[in-house]
Amino acid sequence: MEDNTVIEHYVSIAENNQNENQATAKLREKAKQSLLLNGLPTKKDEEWQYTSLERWKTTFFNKNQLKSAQGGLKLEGYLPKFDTFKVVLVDGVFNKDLSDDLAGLPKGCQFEIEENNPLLPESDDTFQALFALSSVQTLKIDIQAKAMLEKPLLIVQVFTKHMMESTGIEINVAEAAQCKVIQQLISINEQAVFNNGYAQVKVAKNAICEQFVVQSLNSDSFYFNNQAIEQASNSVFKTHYINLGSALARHKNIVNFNGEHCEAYQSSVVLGSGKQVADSRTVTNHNVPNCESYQLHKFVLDDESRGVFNGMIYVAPDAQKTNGNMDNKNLLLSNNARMNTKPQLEIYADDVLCSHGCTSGQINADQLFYCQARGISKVDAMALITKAFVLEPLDSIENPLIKTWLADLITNKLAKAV
Amino acid sequence: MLLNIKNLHAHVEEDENKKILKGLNLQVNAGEVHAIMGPNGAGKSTLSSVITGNDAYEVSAGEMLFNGEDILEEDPENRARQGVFLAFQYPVEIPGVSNKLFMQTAVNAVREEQGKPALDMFDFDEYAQEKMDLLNMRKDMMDRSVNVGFSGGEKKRNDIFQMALLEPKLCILDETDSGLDIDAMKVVANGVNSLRTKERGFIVITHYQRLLDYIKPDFVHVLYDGKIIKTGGFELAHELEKNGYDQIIADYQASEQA
Repeated sequence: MEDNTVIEHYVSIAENNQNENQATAKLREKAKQSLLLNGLPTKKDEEWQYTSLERWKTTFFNKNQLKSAQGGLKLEGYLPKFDTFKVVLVDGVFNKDLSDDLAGLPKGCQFEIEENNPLLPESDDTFQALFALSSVQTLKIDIQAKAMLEKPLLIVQVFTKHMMESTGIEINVAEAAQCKVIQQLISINEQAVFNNGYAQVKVAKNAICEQFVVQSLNSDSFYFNNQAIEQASNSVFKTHYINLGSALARHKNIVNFNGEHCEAYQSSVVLGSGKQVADSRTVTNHNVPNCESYQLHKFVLDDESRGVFNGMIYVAPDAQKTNGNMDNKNLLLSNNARMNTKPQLEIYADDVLCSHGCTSGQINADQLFYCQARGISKVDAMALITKAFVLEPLDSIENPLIKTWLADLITNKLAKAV
Repeated sequence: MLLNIKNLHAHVEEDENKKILKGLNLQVNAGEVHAIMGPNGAGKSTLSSVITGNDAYEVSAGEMLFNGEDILEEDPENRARQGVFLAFQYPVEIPGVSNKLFMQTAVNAVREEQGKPALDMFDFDEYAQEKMDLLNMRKDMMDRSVNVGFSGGEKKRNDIFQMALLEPKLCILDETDSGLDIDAMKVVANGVNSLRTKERGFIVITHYQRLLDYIKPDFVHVLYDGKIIKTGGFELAHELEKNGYDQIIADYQASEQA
């Protein structure tokens, strides 16, 4: 498919956003002009060198026109068993029956679906522009100052039909508040989905926010997600991306430290098999002194799957005493799997502690033989070593229930692949 | 006979011109302890690798019978399940896999082979505890990743601990004494001696006499240029410690030329 045909399609299906307020209309027009001017990224764009859009371009996705909630779905097998406050969207539509009663929201937490002023990013990035063109609703979560949410908030996006989805997520964690937010994307059948997400997280002074994104869309689906995180002084933000599905996935965090003594932890666990392409990338901007960022991204790639990692740590000229660590480790289970990784540091301050590293390899033959010499079969030994490898990013999760749940999801997916 | 190796030839898997074992013969009966000594590069570690089935080496000729059955075609895990054990010269680190999970998996694999039911977590803990006491293992070692962050001595002790858990029929110790201080060596020797039974055989590969002083082998073999060139009793180890290998090698070369 020609690139401009693709753009025309998505511009045309956005045209029916009528009667919007001026500010929204202006942002949409800007996004449209950006798309028409820049076209789709190609392999010549450094950001897209290894992440091919060819397969995505072959299918046109349309918005879900149905606005009524679908009944009769059973989600128990997909969701965590521990106590959460749950908001469920089926095909992009809020589902009251499957969600927890909003009257029972945890104290200090507000939730609303914003439709009049949806959160729209201003960016020339293709998928952010596409999002700005198309998104008509934002899930808005506000955590009031000093509120400590013990129960994680669970946002479940379930898909049952062939469609495009662009729901925004806005999380504001006020001063000294704490919360955990889990976002789960699930296909319950083989219908392909084009999920183009955008999230904005603002973590105020002394606040703590931990976020989990678990993507298990089916292998014909496309997942794009851009997350913009703004941190005020002494705040902590932790984000964990678990990639278990989709034909093509691209997850990106942009973290901005805007006040001193911030801490950010970013991790990825990516399992790839078949012909999957999985791309995880981060930009961490140390704009001010005395902040710390830690990252661990692990990929396990089988068959002909391909992984892409790109991480950039930027340290501004006066951001002294910065501590920035970034690690990307990859395990290739097949000779035809491929990993392209590019960790980057851009440092303009002189008194900083920054490191980046990446390793890609197959299972260590010595480790395998050591297991076999103890009577463990080669297949079991590979599973044991792979599991140990891929679960390491979860070590940074304090909550044992969430940690165990994620470990089980990853282990089960791995067991099916072997 | 527990192990019967006849005229064994082996080379590095990637290079058939790199011949390491060149017609090695060795017989080990149950209840016997055999020490194998020899200069660097003689083929000592290759021998242990070939017995346990490491595919870094390829056997080009000869026979290897374990309990009367040819095991050369068997995978390493099957040899281990039948009772072949190697305490590694360099025990391998496996990050993220706890000792407990590792050894419970291994013990149950062997038990399955023997037709015994698998040990659950609690039974395994109890079983492991007595072996830990035997080897003075630190209490927290079961929850730590296999050999990660262990000192050299701890790694060697961990391998002997694994040997105690698996209760193999043939125990091969590959330079287990190297890098061990005297206290750690006593613990290791004590572990080995406690496993000495009429049903079990040992091959102890070493450079020095010191471990043998504690283990007291029945036979001492000198391995040189891929063959056993001399066999004797414990007194041969004393002689080697005192005079080195030069005279024995010279005698062997003279007899070869004759």
